[in-house]
Amino acid sequence: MITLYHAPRSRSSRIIWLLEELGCDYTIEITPIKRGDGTGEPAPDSYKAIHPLKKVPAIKVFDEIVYETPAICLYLTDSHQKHPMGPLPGHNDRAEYVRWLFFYSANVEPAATARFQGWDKDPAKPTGFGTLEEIEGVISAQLEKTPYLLGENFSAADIVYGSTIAFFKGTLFPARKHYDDYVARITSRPAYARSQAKDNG
Amino acid sequence: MITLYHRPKTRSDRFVFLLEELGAPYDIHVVPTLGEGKTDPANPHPHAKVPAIRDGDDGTVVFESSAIALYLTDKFPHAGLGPKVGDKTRGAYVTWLAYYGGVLEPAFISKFTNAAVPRPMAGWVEVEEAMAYVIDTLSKGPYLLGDAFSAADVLYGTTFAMFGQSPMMPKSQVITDYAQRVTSRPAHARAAAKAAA
Repeated sequence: MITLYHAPRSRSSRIIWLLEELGCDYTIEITPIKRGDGTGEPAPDSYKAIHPLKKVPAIKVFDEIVYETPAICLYLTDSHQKHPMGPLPGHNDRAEYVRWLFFYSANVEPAATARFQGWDKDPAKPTGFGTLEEIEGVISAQLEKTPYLLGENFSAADIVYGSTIAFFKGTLFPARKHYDDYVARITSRPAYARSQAKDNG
Repeated sequence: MITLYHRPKTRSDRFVFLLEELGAPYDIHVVPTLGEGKTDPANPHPHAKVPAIRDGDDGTVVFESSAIALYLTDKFPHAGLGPKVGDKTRGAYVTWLAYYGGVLEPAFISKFTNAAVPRPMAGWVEVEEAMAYVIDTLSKGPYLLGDAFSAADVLYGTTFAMFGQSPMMPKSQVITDYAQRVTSRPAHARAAAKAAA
């Protein structure tokens, strides 16, 4: 049994989507978080036993705890080997899969935050994360060529990037036809609709 | 054969260390520094950064430190440097790898550029909070996964060896001892000789 620590309409919503895609048996534990717009109260200190920074998502599988979105995706898809949601070691797409997942949290998120906060206004003072334009260019180039990040096959990486693109397109990311098509393609999946219905717990 | 795209005295040094630990067949392709205003077309990294690797078995390219660490320990499982799927510490292993690129590095860069982390919005936190958790974990065992050294320690140990004395870092004997423990491994000495070349 898997427990997902989740706050509605947050970064943990997409893990519900992944769990639905994988057909996992899981329960949702609604967890308070302090939100970017200043609303909400942080989780009690007891939650630090699950996530030391009191963030979501985190999952508990028996007595193992996993957090950080790329880690959760890898852990879950690697543990469900029969399911084509994440190529396993030895598969031709494994490297790209792992690379996209870590590129998300180490580059896409920090660069988006830098832009949002106005840290990258001065080109003489690099943020250290790579520019948002460079990073968005890598994503756009791939999705212009293929329906999914790994080519023809949908994977957990598409859940992470698809939800991000849906959120940013037309604002932090430029409006692009292939982004609209991509978001429409992945959000038409039945597991996405099921996850939306469960987002409030 | 693994080819490591490497620039001496950068984040790619530790992958020489990891490849030495793995006992994997590899060669090093040195690429010019970005400051020299030129890029090496052989470097497969889309932003001309290092590290990147190319796996000669099938031409696979991997970049992002955490991704390279996971790819290599999964490819060479007998080296015992990363728990396998199904092992009890697999969850902790992938968590520590992702925490490195998603929390610790952005925390250091925020501190370095004097940017206040917008805590609820950002996926990371200030250095002090990020390090408190690392220090707490390392107070309980010699390595991040407890008694077993792993590729996660290659990332964290080398980072602390380099920045442990920086005023940006909280002072911690636990961190000093850990960095010493990691960098006193024979593979680290072998790597240092090769990475500088």
